[in-house]
This record gives sequence, structure tokens and C-alpha cells, in this order.
Amino acid sequence: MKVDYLTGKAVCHMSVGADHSLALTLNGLVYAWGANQKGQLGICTLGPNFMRVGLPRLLENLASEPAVYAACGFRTSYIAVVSRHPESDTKVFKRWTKSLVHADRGVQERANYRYSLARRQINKEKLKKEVREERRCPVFSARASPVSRRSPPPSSYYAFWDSAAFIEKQDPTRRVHLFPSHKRGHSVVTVFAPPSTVSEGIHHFPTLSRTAALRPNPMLLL
Amino acid sequence: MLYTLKMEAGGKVDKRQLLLLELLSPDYLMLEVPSELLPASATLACDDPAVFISPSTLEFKSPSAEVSVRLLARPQSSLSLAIRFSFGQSLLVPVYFSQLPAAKLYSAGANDNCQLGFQNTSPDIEVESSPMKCTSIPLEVSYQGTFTTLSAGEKHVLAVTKDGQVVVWGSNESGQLCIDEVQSSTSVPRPVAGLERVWQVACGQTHSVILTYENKVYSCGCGQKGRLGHGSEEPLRQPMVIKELLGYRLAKVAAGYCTSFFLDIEGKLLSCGNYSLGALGHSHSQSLPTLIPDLPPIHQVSSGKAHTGCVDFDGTVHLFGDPSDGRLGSPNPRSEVTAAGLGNERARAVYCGGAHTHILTESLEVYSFGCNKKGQLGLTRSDFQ
Repeated sequence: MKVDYLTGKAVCHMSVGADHSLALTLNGLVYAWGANQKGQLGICTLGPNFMRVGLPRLLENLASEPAVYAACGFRTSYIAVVSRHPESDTKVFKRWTKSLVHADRGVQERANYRYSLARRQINKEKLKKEVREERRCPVFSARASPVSRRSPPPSSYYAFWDSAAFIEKQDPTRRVHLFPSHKRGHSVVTVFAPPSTVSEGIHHFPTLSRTAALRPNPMLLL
Repeated sequence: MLYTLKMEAGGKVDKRQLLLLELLSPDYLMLEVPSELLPASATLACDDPAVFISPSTLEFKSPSAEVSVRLLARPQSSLSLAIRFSFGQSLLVPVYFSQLPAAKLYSAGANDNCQLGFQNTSPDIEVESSPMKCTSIPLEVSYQGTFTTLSAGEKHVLAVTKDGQVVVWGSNESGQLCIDEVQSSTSVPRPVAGLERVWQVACGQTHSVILTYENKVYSCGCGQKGRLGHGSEEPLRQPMVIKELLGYRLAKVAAGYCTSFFLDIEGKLLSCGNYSLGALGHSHSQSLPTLIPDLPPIHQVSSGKAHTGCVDFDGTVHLFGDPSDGRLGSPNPRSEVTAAGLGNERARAVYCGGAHTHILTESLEVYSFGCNKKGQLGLTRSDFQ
């Protein structure tokens, strides 16, 4: 079966022990997998969860120096690395370290940058939402706003009538005051009690609707 | 490692190919030349006498699309060297081989016989409560010198330094360290006197095989079932030349648990040692290096506990030995993995472990099969329990 985990990692050399394996890539990284009961994978842990490692695992503490050779004993691993070698000024070594090892580091940096961009976008959305919440308090939009956000209903309503058109009706919810008017003889002000039910959009005045219902429908009479 | 260098129509070679060649530092090179550039004959030469080219003179009777040149470089004296192919009078292709000597060597794992190259130190937090002789943190082996290649057995290690010396540490129970003075084990890397211009080392379970520039193969250690190749089963505490192999120009040596393999530059594979369920390639144990029958020319070989894999020049993997756990890729004791099983790619190398096998393809992808009880195959986490 194809080891998909190592696809594209450019494995150029491998070494196999009794029940573990090492893979060396072109850019000098070493992957190890298999049994680890003696720590032969070199992954710096002997914990019970790492007795058997089923997926290739990068030897991270050796990743800073390019490995050039890997060998396995039965339950041992040997990895040869180059760093600060006297021949490090050769063309091959320079190319090796610069282009290949740093290519992987570049991938990591790109990932970090992408993460920071995503993080910034999230913060931006959050800030936008907060500003919208703040600005929402006086809402003057055409759309119906929720009932709870509306200002509380006034405690009383006033209706101004001309004295000529005034029809007095007995209703316990109204109080009628008569004021002298500078234009005419006097004006009538009716004070209504606050509405008992509040529905979407329109305030219904119970007394008025009740009187409308009591009034005979002229259409029915015809 | 095999590498194919493709030449374009104008006789040029892509720079990226050369860079890859530089980094891979292959042992064998195959050159693909367009048919219009092919002359009637060609001569291949190299300035360095440590480079074998086989064949050195090519004659083309019928024009074919590609020509294969097997090239064996031993770049130990110089960091990089140029090989010039001269086709007729006009064409020159410089090829650079490089081998970077290692500056530091880190080791991790079991350390019960000081095979890590230092005394047992347990910096692990988990270990402090119950002292185990192992480390999971890779620690540096202190040695004045740079290692170029290294091979490790069960309890001993042989490393080759830049100036061609062998440095050894670990257990010496069967004399596998080539030093007679050390009785049980040594934690300090010690150079072996008497071995010069060493090119390759290979370690089995309790024996060691050493190949030098002068085509001499030395072996020492435990000699059960003739794994040392001297025709006897006696253990050796001093390295001795295998006389049977003096007529061969060897390219590579390899060692399984109880077997030794010797690869010729023409692709002949010889083996000796224990039968070990067919991993030897013969039906009986052999105490002298014997040619394995029915194999095409081989360029890479690796042997595990009870199975052996080798890659031929066409990129086909040949596996033989114990077929249990699916480590051969098929239930037969002798099987082949062709390009069809590797996503239509040729195999570059095969690596055999205790009960699992890895194949590295030409586009540097890894295929694995065999036992996965300890997660050796490196597949997804859900595939093993």
C-alpha cells in the first residue's frame, strides 16, 4: 500500500530496523514510525501512548540541521547531520541548506501569516457587530423593529376636540377637561388611559374599538 | 540507488536533473540518449580511477531509443567529481556525484550493550523511575572525525570515517567488532587497525561484512551456518578476506540476520549463510558465496529477518523468503513487484525489515506491505490496532 503521508515529501533514503523505519527526505528531514518500546524512533518520548507510532513522525529536534544519513539497528536509530561543517561553503551544501531546508520553513511562515489574516478578519467582524449594536438604540428604519426595543408606551393620551364637534360619552377610562380657548369659546381635551394591549405597529385603543363594535354597521342596515 | 539521466534532443541535460542527481548521490547511473544523437560507438571515461564504468566502450549496431550505462562511483576522496561521457567527438556531459560527510551523529534506542556509542544515560523523565537502558532523545556520539556511512546490527555498530577507516562500538560477544582486545562490549567508538580504504560496511545480527576500495571483502563475527563465507562455521574475532570473492568487482555488500549478500557491478548476486526460510535465495545453507540462480541483473539488495528483496535494472522488485504476514506482497515464497503494482513507476530501492517491506519508487514515493502490528507500515492511524 502506498504511504500517503510521505507523498510529496521527497523521500530519498530509508532504513529499516526490526520493527521500525526511518525515512530521510531530500531536504534533510527525518521521519520515523513503528515500534518505540526502547525509544528507537528518537521522538523524545517513551510514554505509553507512543509505544507504537503508526504514522510517520518528524524528528523535530533534529530538524534544524539537515540530515544526510540515517541507519537503523534492530532497536536503535542513527542519524548523521551536517552543521557548521568545514566544507559548508561548498555549492552543494549552500543549495541544500538555503533552498530546501528553508523551503519548509517558508511553508510554516506562510501558514502563520494566513492564520494572522484570518484572525484579523474575525476581529474585524466582531468590531463591526459591536458598532452596529451601539448605533441600533435609536432605530429609524422602515423595517419593523422588535417590540421589546421600542420606547415604552406613554402613560396617557390626549385628544383635542373642537367644542362644536364635542360629543360627550360616558366612559370610565376618559377624563374630560374643558379649557377656555383664545380663539373660540372653549376647547375640549379628552385624556385617555394607557392602552391595555400593544400589538405590532399600531396601538389599539380598547375603548374606541369597543365603541366601533357597538355602533351598528351602516352596510348591514341597507 | 539507481538514477536515470535523460538527455534532451540537443544533447543537453536539464539542470534540475543534475541537481537531483547531486542530492541523491546514486550508485548507478542510467543515461537515456535520443536516437538521433547516437553515434556508431561511444567511449565513457572518468578522471577519477575510483569510478567504474561498465561497459566503457559502447557499440551501437542498430539505433535504439535509449542506451543504458551502468556507472559505479566511489566518491570518497573528493566531495564531488565529474564524469565525462564523450559520444563520438562532440558530446560532453559532466555529472557531479556528491557525498556529504556527516558532521555529527545522533543515536537513540536500546542501549543495553552500549550500541549507541555512549554510556547509558537516561534523560527521559519516564525512565527515571524505572531505569531502562535506553534513550528516546537522540544524543550525540562523540568522536573526533566525520562519518560517511554506517551500519548497525543487533548490538554492534560499524561506521566508516571520511578517511576510509572503520570505527566500531557496541557488543563484541562473537567478535563482530573486528577487535580482539575488547572482550564484552565498548561504549567508546574505536578505530579498527589493519583496515584501510574501506568503502562499505554491512552488519548482520552478530557478524560484520566490510568492502574496501580494492574489491576485498572482509568478514568477522559469528560464523554459524557459514554466514562469513569462508567455508567453515567457526567464529572469527579478526577480519579475514573472503577468497572466493577475489575475482569479482563488487558494488555492494548487504547482510541479513544470518546471511550475507554480495553484489557484482554486472548485477550478479551472491549469498552465503543460513537458509532462513528461503531468504538466502538457495534451498540450503551455503558456507561459500554462491550465485543466486534465476535472477536478472540486480542493482540493489536488502535483507531482513526472513526475507530478502532486490531491485533489478528494469525497476522490478524480486522478493524471496518467508511469505507470512504478507511481507513478500504475495503468498508465494518467491514473488515479484512490477511497475503495475507501484502506480506504473519503476522501483528505485527496496528495504526489508523484520516482518515488513518498503519500496521506494522513481518519483520518491514509498510503498509498504507486511506486518503492521506495531505500525511499521506508516499507513493511516486507523489501519493498525
